[in-house]
Amino acid sequence: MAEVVLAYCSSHAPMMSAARDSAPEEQRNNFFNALGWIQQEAQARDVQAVVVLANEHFTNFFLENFPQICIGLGERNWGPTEAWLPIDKAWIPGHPGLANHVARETLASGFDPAFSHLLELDHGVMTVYHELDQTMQLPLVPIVQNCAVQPLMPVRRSYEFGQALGAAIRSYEGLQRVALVGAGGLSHWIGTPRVGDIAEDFDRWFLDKLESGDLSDVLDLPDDELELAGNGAHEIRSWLAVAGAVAPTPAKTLAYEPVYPWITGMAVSHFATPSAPG
Amino acid sequence: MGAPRVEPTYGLQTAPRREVPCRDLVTGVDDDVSLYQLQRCVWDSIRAGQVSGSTKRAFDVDSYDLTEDEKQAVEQADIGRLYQIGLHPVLLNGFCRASGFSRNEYRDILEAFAEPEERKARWQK
Repeated sequence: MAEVVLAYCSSHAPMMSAARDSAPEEQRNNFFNALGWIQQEAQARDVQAVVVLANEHFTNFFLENFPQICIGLGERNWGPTEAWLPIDKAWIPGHPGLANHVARETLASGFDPAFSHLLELDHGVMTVYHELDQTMQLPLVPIVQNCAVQPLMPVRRSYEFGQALGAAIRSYEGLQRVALVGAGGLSHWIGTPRVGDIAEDFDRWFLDKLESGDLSDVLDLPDDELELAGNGAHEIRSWLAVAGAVAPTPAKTLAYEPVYPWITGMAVSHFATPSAPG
Repeated sequence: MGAPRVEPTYGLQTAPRREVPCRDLVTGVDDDVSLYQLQRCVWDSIRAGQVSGSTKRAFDVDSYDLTEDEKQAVEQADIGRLYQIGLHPVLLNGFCRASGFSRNEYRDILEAFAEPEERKARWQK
């Protein structure tokens, strides 16, 4: 059976790749050093595949049909879609075995994820995936979530989906060592008069909740309250799914930097999961 | 006569144009445009500039049922007007980038529409 041998969450922002040096040196060093540590852990734990949850930015879906969750089942997916993102455009290998198993098991658990045999991956997945594996050869199962178009899946439901996702990964017999990543958030505003603002108080509160392991206040958040940390804050759904997948393991914040040039509260949190299957 | 046939989009490059007006059943007014058309127009315009496989997508602003106001806002990249009309903020953000606006530039434009926030969230002391 597989085990989640590495679980972490990271903010994503296109500027972390496209305008890396626009961030103050100390901030970017803290952020990327945390991701560097994660990369070393992935190598040390000999990760065989990675599941990345990130939000949909109208890259694959539009208003005709907008799934709350979509699992990438394909043998490969394309990314990054943004021509200006300085990451090589490539076909990223998928893992149909794991992805189909996750889809079947989460369906059996009472969720109704959509699926796609070909996803286009934007900065939401690609910035974080590329920091994990610059060769972009690590098999990737992308799971895109609706964090932008109302009505949204409640945050509690995202956490519960994560619980089902974690169980699904751990019941897969085709691999032994899987990494699980939540990519998105934290606070930020896009396409509004507050673009560029960061709600540091929200970010620190949320990270503290993840470290405490008591997420009850977070899971009760209605969307209109969560939006007070920015319309981009809805992306914490990816973080909560990972937290649910590895519960009750609490997170440890490896880095938090409010990077104003990247218009986002940039954090990396790690969950100390087993280093090998039991 | 039955309802007009609406062709499914199934991966088409642009949204289907309506050949006849749709009547709003509440107001009784013939509504031959919709915010959806504007959202779709802007989405397609952004994607026309993006890499997808080895191709770029085609885009023609005249293939959408837009009002003159909407069409002008798209063609002139009138960010403030698009915000007022109700363009989705994710699309607005992408459209600004595709149109060459920096974040500071488009924030300066949108600040005129900012409304004070009176509510307090649970994380705010």
